[in-house]
Amino acid sequence: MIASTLVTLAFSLTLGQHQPAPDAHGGGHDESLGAVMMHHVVDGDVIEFPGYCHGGLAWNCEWNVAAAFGAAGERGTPERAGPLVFGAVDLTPTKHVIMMWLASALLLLVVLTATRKRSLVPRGAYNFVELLVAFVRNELAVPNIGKKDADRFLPYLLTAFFFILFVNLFGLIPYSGTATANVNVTVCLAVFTFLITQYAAIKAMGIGAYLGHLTGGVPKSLWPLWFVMVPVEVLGLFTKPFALTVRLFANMVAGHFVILALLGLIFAISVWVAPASVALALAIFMLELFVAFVQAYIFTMLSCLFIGAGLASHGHDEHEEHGAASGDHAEAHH
Amino acid sequence: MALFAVPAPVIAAGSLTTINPGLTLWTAITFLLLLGVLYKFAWGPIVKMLDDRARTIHEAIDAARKERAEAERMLAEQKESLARATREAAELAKRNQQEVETLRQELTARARKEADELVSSARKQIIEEKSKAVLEIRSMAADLAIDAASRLIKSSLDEKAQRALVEDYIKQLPTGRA
Repeated sequence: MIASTLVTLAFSLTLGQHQPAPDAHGGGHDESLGAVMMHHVVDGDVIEFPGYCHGGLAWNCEWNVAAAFGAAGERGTPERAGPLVFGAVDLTPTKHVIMMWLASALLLLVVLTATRKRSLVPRGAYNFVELLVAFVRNELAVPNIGKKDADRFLPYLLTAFFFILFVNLFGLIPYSGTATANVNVTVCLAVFTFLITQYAAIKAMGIGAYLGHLTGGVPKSLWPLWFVMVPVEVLGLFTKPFALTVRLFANMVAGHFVILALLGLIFAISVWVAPASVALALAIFMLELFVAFVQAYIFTMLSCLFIGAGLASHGHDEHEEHGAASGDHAEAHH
Repeated sequence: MALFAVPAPVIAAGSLTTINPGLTLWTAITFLLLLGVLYKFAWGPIVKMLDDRARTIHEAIDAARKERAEAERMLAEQKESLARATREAAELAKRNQQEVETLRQELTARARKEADELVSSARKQIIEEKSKAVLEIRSMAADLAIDAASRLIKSSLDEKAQRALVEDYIKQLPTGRA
């Protein structure tokens, strides 16, 4: 693990050394350290990789993903054209899409190969996969959702956990990109959790009670208050997926920024700070390996929590005056 | 879609908050495909395996508990029967000993009685024989004496008077052992 991390850092360092190079050559774009860091984290049409190009071995070979998929013109401008461009929705894959696909392929490879070798007495890779599955099931799903309903939501929760974990970890490989450090990716996952949460809530209490629950428990006699309560409750619905979106995205961005900033110090101050920079970056890198797991865990755990709350919310005290139907449900549930 | 019509410069700068609905859509597609494939080929079988294992372990524990109870019951039975056998053997041995003792005493007693009887009959016979012999000896001695005497003094005494004399004499002789 440490050896691979060092190799990673060596790559990062070389990459870092390379990046300011266009500055010397008078390259076309913004060459500040901040721009370089941003360039490493944000999405783009181009994937850089070490290989054979520009007439020799190079660290900065480029593959233009957009061009490969037949798109031309600057993304987001009216000149943008291609087979996958549908008006405002540009489906041309980007760097993060490719990275997400690679991470997903790796996920499939690992999990499916491991699952093929499953046995009653677990061994090897399957043991590890099963450990994570059992963890999500026994530590996240069952305590938050309940033993009865946990297995219904388990496929989603497991997929979310493993998807986030693999995309996070894949992003730590040099030259790859972290798709979870892109708000467009995390919002999709958060929307899935949101939809499942609402589905669970509607299924558990019925559509009438669900809509009634949006009044925040204010009785019919006080209906003018609904004009205040309904927006608040609706806003409340959306804060949860918003928090999920931002938490995952911000954590992944922050980790990469810290590593890049520490390495950037070498170029910003002096090459003599390199030992300290590399040591700190190594420490942060290790932390990032841990954070990859933690963020997958937190996303899954919060999803479980929201689903569990959705399933149980009709039993809350504040909703007891909703009428007979709701009350019956509450009694049935307890 | 107007929501996504973000001013171009933000996108061009490659900001962190660039909105790219295409990416979101690709994420959704990728995620749903993953969900489908993994559900069918991984999560389903793995969860089934987890349940199988839990059930197997439960069954194994139950079976072990049952077998243990059975073994304990059998052990108790064995112990009990062993104790019974020991007790029976001891009883049997004691009874045998008693019987042997009784038999021994009986035999001893009978043997002693027989011996005593034998001794006493022998003694009686001896006494009888002795008294017979004494009588015989007496008569024989008398005859011999008479004979001798008659031969010695045939002339002087008649037989009748001599006999009386000798018998008197013999009567004076101490009786008892000869």
